[in-house]
Amino acid sequence: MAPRLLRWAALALLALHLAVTLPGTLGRVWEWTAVSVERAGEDRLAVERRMKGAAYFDAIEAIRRLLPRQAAYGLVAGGREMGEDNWVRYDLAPRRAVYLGELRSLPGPSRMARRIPPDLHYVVVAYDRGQPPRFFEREGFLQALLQLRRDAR
Amino acid sequence: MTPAELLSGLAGPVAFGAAGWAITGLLPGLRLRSGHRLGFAYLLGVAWTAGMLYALSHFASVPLRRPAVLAVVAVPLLAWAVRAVVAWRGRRRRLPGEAREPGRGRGRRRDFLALAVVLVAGAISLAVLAESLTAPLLDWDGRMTWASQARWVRAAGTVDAPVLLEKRWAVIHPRYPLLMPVAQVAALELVRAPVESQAFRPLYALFFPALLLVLWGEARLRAGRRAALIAVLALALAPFPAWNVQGGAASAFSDLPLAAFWGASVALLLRLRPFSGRNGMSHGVAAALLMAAAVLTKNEGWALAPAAVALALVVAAWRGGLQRRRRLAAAGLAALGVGLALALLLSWRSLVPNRFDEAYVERAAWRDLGPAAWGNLVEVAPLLFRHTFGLESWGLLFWAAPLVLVAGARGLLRRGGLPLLLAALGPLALGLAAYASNPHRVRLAEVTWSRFLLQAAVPGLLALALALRGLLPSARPRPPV
Repeated sequence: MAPRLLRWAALALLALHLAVTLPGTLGRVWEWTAVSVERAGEDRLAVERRMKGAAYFDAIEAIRRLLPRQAAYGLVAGGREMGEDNWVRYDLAPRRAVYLGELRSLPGPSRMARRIPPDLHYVVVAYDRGQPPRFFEREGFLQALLQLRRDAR
Repeated sequence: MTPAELLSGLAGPVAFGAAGWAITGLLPGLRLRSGHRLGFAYLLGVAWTAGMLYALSHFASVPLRRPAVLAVVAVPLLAWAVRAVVAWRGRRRRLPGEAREPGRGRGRRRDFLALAVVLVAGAISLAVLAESLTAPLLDWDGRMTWASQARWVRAAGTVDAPVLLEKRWAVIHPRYPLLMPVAQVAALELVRAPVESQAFRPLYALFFPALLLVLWGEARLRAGRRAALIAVLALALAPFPAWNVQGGAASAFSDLPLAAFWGASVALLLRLRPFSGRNGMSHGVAAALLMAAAVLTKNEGWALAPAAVALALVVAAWRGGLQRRRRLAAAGLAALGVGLALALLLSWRSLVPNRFDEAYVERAAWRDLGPAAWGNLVEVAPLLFRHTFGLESWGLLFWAAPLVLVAGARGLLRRGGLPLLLAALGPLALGLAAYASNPHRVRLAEVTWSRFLLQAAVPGLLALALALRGLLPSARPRPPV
């Protein structure tokens, strides 16, 4: 390609990049700013509740009230989507989690009783996006385990 | 939300920025124009504060609490104040060779392009910042890794938190470097925010304007005002760096901080001509701090930082000339920074048992880097093409960039652009090596390729600006920088 033609092609393509991306960018600026201004007038927790889902948020808040921040709990992945238990782990941090496995694959109550470390008194079962996690005391979890497993399969 | 809740998100970044501004005031070579200096100030402030706290917590068991944060932030401020008092009392004159940035000061032209870039980049930055002040964190890696680590570290008051050191606890990527989680802790400790507070989010959002300011300043020194403004606009308008919630400024991923720390350091080390006198050492000190931060921010920093320093040493030795010793000294200082950061990281990691980690490096089938590598790369090529050339991530930037680089190759090479281009290839080579050798390469490429492109942004756009300079009509001659 002749140098002059190459030069103008390069500048034209770069100008096209700016032209193509500018309208979408300005639209996003407007949208994000407007939404942020609206959120700024709301209660912070109300915003978080709406964005994470009321059922999920309320369940997390309830577990936070029951479990002190320095507490530990067993974490079970009860949903089908990969990684959803991560969000429960984050939202309950700095409480520490021991990962017990996927609900569908857990053994029966007697074996599970040996798997759960003796110093863990609580179990949290995390489900898919937006669904509330469930909180159990250790014995309650073992009693409910078979039904929970059936529901998960 | 109360004004206090909104403003608590800004206290940390303001404190880091103030510390960083003081650091730039102590380094003659970084007394730049305001915007350029502000970009470096934010990066240096975060690097200094979080880096020092990381080291103090690990080596000296200093509790990560408000007094320690305030003390670390105060050190450069006090040093700057002492220096200012000494200078005032001595009524010192400007020393010979203490350079001012070319063209600084009077008679700065205002033009439509500059106004447009400031408005657009400023509006984008403010929109992302507003979102970070008013919404909770919802991204993947931010919640899974970085912010979770920050909560545990803050609760324990140490980077050697028992939850990280004891294998029984479910921690994803427990050995990931902790610079950004420590920065989160520092930001929240400053305002005594509750542990579930989201007030750390603006810390990440502000890396975007900081990166743009550094890019603008460094590009302007090398390629002139217009080329620099266009390069900044081209990056600002690309969707991924600002808006993407899985790696951009709207997230709490560590890729944008890494891009900023590493890119700013590379820009300093690869200046064609550091300023005279002590300013070469200034660049070395700043580059050392920023490279150390890159090592402590993400695993990729382990490879990118030493590679960039090695490139700087080779370039310094190759170029020769009067500046050779100063460039070698600057690169040597940066190497020292990398070495110290690696020592900290290796010492800390030795305490942390690995679990819940893909172990990309350990599990990579390195034998596949041979004959099977090409086939593996062909497998992910369509994905890479879509993420690179797709409008939704980068607009037409990567369609235009190669053409600009080829058309402006003469100016690019004459003005020392080749090392910048080589540096920009570093993150991309790292990504390709990972894809060539990892059994889960398709999933890996899907979620990481744009982030590698982001990591290459500063040296890549600097090279673009250099090439662009010769293509723009009526470009004024500038001395090479």
